[in-house]
Amino acid sequence: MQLLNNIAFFLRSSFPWLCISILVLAAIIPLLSTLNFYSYNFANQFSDYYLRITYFSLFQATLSSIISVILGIVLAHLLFKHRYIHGIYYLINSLGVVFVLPTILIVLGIVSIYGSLEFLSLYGLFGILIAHITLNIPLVSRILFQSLSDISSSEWMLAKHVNLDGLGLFKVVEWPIIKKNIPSLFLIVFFICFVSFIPVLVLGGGPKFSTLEVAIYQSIIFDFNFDKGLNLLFIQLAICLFLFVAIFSNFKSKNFILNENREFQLLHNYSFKYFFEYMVIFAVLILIFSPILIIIVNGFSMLFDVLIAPYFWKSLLTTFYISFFSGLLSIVLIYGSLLFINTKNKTGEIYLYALIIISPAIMSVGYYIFLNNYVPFKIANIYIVIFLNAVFTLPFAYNFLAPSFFRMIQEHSELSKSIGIVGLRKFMFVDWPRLKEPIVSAFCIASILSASDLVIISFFGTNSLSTLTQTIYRLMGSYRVEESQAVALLLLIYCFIYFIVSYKLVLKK
Amino acid sequence: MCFKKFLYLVFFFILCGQTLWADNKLVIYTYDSFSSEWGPGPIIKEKFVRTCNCEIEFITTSNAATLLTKILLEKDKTEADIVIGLDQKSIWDAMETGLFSSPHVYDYGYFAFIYNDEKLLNPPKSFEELIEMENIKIITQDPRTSTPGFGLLTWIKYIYGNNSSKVWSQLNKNIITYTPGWSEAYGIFLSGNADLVLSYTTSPAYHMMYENTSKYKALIFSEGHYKQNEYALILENSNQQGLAKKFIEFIRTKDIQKEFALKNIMYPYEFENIKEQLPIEFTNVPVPDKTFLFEDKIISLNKEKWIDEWLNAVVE
Repeated sequence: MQLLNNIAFFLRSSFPWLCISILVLAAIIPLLSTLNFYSYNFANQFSDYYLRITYFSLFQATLSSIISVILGIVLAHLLFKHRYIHGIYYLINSLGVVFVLPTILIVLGIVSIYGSLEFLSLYGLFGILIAHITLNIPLVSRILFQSLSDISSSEWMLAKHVNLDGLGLFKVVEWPIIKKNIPSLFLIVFFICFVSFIPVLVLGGGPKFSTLEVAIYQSIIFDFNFDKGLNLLFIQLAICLFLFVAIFSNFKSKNFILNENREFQLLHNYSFKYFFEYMVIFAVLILIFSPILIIIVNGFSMLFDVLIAPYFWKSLLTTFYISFFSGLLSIVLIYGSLLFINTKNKTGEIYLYALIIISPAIMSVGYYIFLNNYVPFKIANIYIVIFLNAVFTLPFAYNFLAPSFFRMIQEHSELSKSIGIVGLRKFMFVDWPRLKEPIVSAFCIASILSASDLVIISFFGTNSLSTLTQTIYRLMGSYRVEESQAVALLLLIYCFIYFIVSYKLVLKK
Repeated sequence: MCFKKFLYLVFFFILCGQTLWADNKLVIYTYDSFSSEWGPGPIIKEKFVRTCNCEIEFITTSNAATLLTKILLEKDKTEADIVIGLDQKSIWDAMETGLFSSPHVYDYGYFAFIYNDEKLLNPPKSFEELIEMENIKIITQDPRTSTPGFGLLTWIKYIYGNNSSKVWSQLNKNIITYTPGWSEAYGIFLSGNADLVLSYTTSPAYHMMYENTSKYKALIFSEGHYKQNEYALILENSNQQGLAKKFIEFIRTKDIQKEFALKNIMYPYEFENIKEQLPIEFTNVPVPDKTFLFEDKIISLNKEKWIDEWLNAVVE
């Protein structure tokens, strides 16, 4: 019995350490591995071109993230206010889908919608902005909505008692919690846009509007020029690190009234006086969902042919394995890391963001080198794909889970400590009931992001290991565009079902 | 009890991790659209396996342009016996590494712009006319990340030499975007969002053979067309030399060669000898009168310079 207790204690105390170590190593290992091919030659051929695209990257990423965050806040606020309207619940959950679908589908949707409009030229800054905004508003508003759901009833009640309404209510109750999220959200969106690849290449209209990431990708993957690629990466990292420090040192968070009960309802039922607000919601949703509509409309012509094709079912199964296990692993890792971080000290976040800003190309190549040279045994590719996807999706899982987690810690940690509930039992009886909603959101996001991945699977996939996303590309690469559109629609349906089933199973609503 | 189950699980995972060791296994690195269900890979595999009592495993990259990178990352530790799908852009560099024995061409094609003749009513007949055109939407691939994209670069270089920059800055006005690979460009073109897309003279044959439509046509230019060869190479370090050589011979047999026309939509290396076995839709595709290509070494030496030249021309 004593032994079992000791083992339990050991597992309990080492679990957060294990997770945080994996997280830190996950960012460092690939980088170190690539140094194998690096000759420590900093004086590299940096023509004016690289200066130019660095400026441009900074410019477009700043603009994209400001617009995405502002519109994301507006959308989250309005959706939260009107969340009791029938159907809004499903709408909120579908927001995640836009963000996690393979980027190329959204980008091709955007080309179909805006490309034929004669009065505007899509390709260039405009196209890049549209793509980044379309992709990131859902991310921002989905995360914010999650946080807003954390506001306890006593806060609402208090606000109601002092007769706050409209903007006042927003400022006193919602804004503090939104404000707390802004630095993370701004950074994550900024980093996503700063290292953007497919939207920039397809919608940039040419190398004039490009990112450092494209140049890094080209140097490493196509020219095998690690000196140039890594030097560009160091510039990219320096800029991102600077921003990280600058932004986080300027934002200090406040405490809130803490309370368990969240079921208090401010009645905002359907009413004509909110007409303007409905219009705003509608406009933003049109912007976000129009590429999805294109996928749906285009997908029908060959839907039946695809449904009876064995390759579809095979890659659906692979997709399910990868999404489910990556999502699960991602949640376990991020939960352990959160237990480790466990304070308001956010320096641990830099390792998470490193997973975004160390270019996906370098990450994949780095892991490839590492596994080939330093791992003496062979690991089946599916495990590698699952593990790497879990790692790459950590920053997103973190953003979905962390706000609620830290709030819960504030509410419960003293209590849990005083009644001596720890470890798995604490998770089951204290954390889980309170966090199951953000956990299932983070799980779904991590899962579908993994299913949408193309970089890792193209490095570690084999011919027989093929996801739906890869199938879409393979069909496109074999002239079968209509068929690929049908698979895209089915992938979309898969995402929705995955979300709905996960929520139903966990929340039992 | 629980611990025991856990051990079983670990054991199971380790077992899954081991690849089955086979005596006669040929590992082939190639790009996705070669080995996918719709490419020539599966049928070649099926037919070869019947003759050799061996196994074939395809390991794929998403893009032909990254094949060499994969080998260079693995160097002497590579499992590959054969690489299929390198073209002129990288063949010289590949040979310079000393990792490969001599290259074998298995198919080829000519770069060309494809258009929809129901939409584009006055198609240009020469590069000169194309450059002069206004209000035409061209979509092509980024020469830094795509082999056809680089093909256009060399095509223009071959015709215009030192004037290439000027031609690029003029052509660039009509190029709506440079996609990362062939697939995105062709997809955007087929969805009707561009007038011209850079592909191959044989692309229309696909639409005729599989979609029964002849509305897609290739522009044939009087200046001539740039040729692309695709190569298969055996790795020097492979311990399956005999089997690998047999495989290379096999893909150049008439029976297999026709698959490159049907599934890869490229001219088989033995095209002239197997014409009568191919569908009329394929053999009827117009062949350009004049075709050319640079020597491999010239491409390797100038690659970076040409890309920079293009970059400067289109960024201005």
